Amino acid sequence: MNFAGSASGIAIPIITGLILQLTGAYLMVLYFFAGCAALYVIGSMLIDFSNAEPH
Amino acid sequence: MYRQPAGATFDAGCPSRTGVSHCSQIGSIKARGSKGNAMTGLDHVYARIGVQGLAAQKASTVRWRIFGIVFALVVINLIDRVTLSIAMPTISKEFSLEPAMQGVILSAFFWSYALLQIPGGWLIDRFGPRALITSATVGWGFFQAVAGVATGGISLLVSRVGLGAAEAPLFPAGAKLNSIWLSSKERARGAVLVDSGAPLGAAFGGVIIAWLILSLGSWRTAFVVAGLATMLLGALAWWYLRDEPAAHPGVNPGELSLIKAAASASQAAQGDNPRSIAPRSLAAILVGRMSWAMINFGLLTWGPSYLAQARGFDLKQMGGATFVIFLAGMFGSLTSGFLVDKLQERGMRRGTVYKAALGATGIGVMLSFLLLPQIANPVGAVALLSCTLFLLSAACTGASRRFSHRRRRSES
Repeated sequence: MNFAGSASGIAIPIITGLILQLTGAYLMVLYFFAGCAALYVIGSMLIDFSNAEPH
Repeated sequence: MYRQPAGATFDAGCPSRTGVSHCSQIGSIKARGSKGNAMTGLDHVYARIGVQGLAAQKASTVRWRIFGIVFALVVINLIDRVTLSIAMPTISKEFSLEPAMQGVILSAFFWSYALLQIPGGWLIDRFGPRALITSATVGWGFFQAVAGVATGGISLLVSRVGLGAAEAPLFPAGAKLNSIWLSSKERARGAVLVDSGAPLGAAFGGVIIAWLILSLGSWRTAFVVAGLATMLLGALAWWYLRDEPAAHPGVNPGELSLIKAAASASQAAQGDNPRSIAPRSLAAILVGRMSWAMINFGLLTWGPSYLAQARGFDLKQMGGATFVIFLAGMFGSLTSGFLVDKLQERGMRRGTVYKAALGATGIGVMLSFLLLPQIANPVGAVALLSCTLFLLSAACTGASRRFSHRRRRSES
């Protein structure tokens, strides 16, 4: 779990730098972050919270 | 009139085993009081000290002072981590670094940070939290200062690899101190204290580092000053932290028995197996965690540069804005922790409630990033980013608190 977070920590500064280098502006960076948020929503929806319910 | 009840209370309340020295002190207070036939103002001060002394004899609070120091270390850990993010707009001009190279340098911290997570537990068992925290703090202070004398992109990158390696042991070692020093009832409070230090450090880091750069007139001196201050805090950690409560000179028998009782209780509970998580859920959690961390670390590393370059903020405005934004993150984290606890108390265990909450915060974060380019007003942009971080931190704390509740239930 911690490693997943650190992997993102490794990736995102480089990705952001590359997007800035290629496009020269922050607009696509913000859209990339919005895409990450969308992925976050999908991930949360697929977690099976009921699994550990005691009934 | 004053003397009699006060004296009686002290004598009766004096613990027979540990309160010998305080009893004699109280004796002298009484004698002084009877000499003048009534207690003077000063006597009341003495009397109050006596009462506090007695309360401390019941159980000293060294463990909370230890957690005060761990909290301070977490705050400075994050301050030193975000220093480069704040200084990057200035440094990149001086070293003429391209955005791609800036990204690699900002990433370098996490290379060693991630790698050092692996032997973290072994390091704690081998050296103990006190030695590990002290050497880690002095070490990251050193690399922070080294960044101040960097001559270009590569040496800056090397200093960041060192910083990441040295900063990595603090959180696992802090968790170890939590299990050594706190009772099972107190552990959640200790964990919240440590957790809230991180966003607080990110918030204050912006202000402090921007102020240091401006007042010292150089980003290099700011790094060196921050590094030296960190090393001093490392010395404080060595002076006050202990791996064994019994080895701490400030711990009295009362506190020791409280901690020992907690340790034996937690040992008894260790036999339970944690519930397994379905593979689909595990994959979903990993995706959620990774995409969450992308945004979180994206804002932490590049956020200040965005404010400087896309919004035209100067150093002072940037420091103020990062303070507001990351403080909002801390409030988001505290709010959702509080809400989840309240829901659990009411017996609200339905996964759908948490799913809806996580989904809603995620959609909120997504919309705010889509909306941000449309907002020209700088104050509006900072307000929107503050809302974003509030939601982002709320989602993380809410989810992890939810899981820890589940684990606690399956343990009991």
